[in-house]
Amino acid sequence: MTTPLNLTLAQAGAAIKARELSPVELVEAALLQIEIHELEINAFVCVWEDTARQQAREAERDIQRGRYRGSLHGIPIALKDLFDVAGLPTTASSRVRDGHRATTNSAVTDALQRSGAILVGKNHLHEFAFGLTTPQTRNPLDPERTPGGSSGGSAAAVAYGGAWGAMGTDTGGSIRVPAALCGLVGFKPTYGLVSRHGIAPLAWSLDHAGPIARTVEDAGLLLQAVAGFDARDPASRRPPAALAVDRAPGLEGLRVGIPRNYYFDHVAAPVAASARRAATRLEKQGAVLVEVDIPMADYLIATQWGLMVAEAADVHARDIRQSASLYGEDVRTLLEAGQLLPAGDYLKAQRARRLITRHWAALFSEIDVMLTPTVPQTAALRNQETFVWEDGAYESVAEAYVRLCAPANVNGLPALTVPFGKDHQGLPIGVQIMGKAFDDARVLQVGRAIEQPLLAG
Amino acid sequence: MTIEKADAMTPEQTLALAASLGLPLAEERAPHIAGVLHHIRSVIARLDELPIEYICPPSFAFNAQQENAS
Repeated sequence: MTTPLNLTLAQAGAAIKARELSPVELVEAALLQIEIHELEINAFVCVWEDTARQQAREAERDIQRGRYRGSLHGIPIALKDLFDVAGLPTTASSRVRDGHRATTNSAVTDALQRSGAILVGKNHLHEFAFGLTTPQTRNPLDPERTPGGSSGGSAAAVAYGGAWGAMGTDTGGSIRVPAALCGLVGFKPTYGLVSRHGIAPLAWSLDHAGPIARTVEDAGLLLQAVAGFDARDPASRRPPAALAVDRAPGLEGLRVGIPRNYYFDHVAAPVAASARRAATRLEKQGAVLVEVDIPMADYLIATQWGLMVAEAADVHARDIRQSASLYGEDVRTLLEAGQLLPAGDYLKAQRARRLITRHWAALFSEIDVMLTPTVPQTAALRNQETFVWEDGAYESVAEAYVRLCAPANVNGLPALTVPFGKDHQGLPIGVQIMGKAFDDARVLQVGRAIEQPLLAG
Repeated sequence: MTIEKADAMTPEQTLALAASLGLPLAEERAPHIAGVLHHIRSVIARLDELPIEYICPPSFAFNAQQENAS
């Protein structure tokens, strides 16, 4: 008997196409999970039960009449509450947005609706995506722990079965961090591949939109639906080749960079061990492991901060002057401090970014992809403020979670997290695969090669 | 190479700067904001070690493909 909850997005899509599964059943399964878990987990800002049921009936009818639209047709999907949906509020999980109502859809909303996906609701985030913990939401794998952020509600919803996939945003790890902490796949595509039109910004030159899903294949299907040039987003680019997310998994001769520095510094032992086991798995499939030195390692986070704090401060320049008390304390503090940042600091970061990307381009001329841990530690307790490393060093939870993800935002490269192993507490560990700009399909291909033996087992 | 040292501002300097920029900052928040700003500026100040004076104009139209072409 087909149990919808056990199906991946791809499997559910295939069952719907074969008319072995109805979108109505799938949506009811999602809504039941939401009813069971939402009181404790709080992943959703709003759930659109009536419209989801109506769209499911329409999808069922269309498919019965031969109007099947593709892999997402009839699949329940959730949106981080930064994506505009016409006629509805985009809250950004902030009181500052009280009374907001979007007049048009985001490009991603349009793309999902065209694909026949059923939007079940919008997910909580760390306020305005400016944080890595999403404090109002709990991790379904252990409710005493953070789901990560800023797309924490999106990851939590997918993890407990409230949606078969979700769209998030990533400015310094906000897709990959919660996906890793919730045992999911999260993909930040190349900068410019997915339109940000209609998404509330955090930092224009670092913001990306991308999928969170249960498998790499599922993330690829979501990416395929939402990727594409959009003149309304000034960063949008036409990729040099069509996006082939279902590339065959052969890895013979693929050069996989394994960093000697930075990515394994101050990383918990089980997390580092998982990344090295994932590398061995690729090697057994024909890949060649290449030890590499990460260039400009001491300047990656400094550049990220210079860009993000300054751009976020400008995004919020009016609201922080008019409504500061409506922000949460952590976000308010960063935005107020950001108002006082000299323009020279921002320019310094912009110039450093060019230097960094040149050095990283040279690095990626020697390798095809790079494999690293996604985050240095698994899910922290909700009230935990710091990690303590083996050498006695303290690091704030937020700074630790952003540290290994942010470089791919600074240089715009595609970066995928795939769950691979668990720590001694049974918490999931994510490994990260980065690739060359617009080589997103290869990154997904490598992710599948890491993941597939797990799925088969 | 010019190394810019990011000195911490006093709460009074922070309040004055905020006022000059039209940012209404409560007096009791000034010490905290001064500390956070100093931390942020200290991190960014690491970039002063880089040889970026001559060879790297800022890239406002950031293009991942162009920057990472190999």
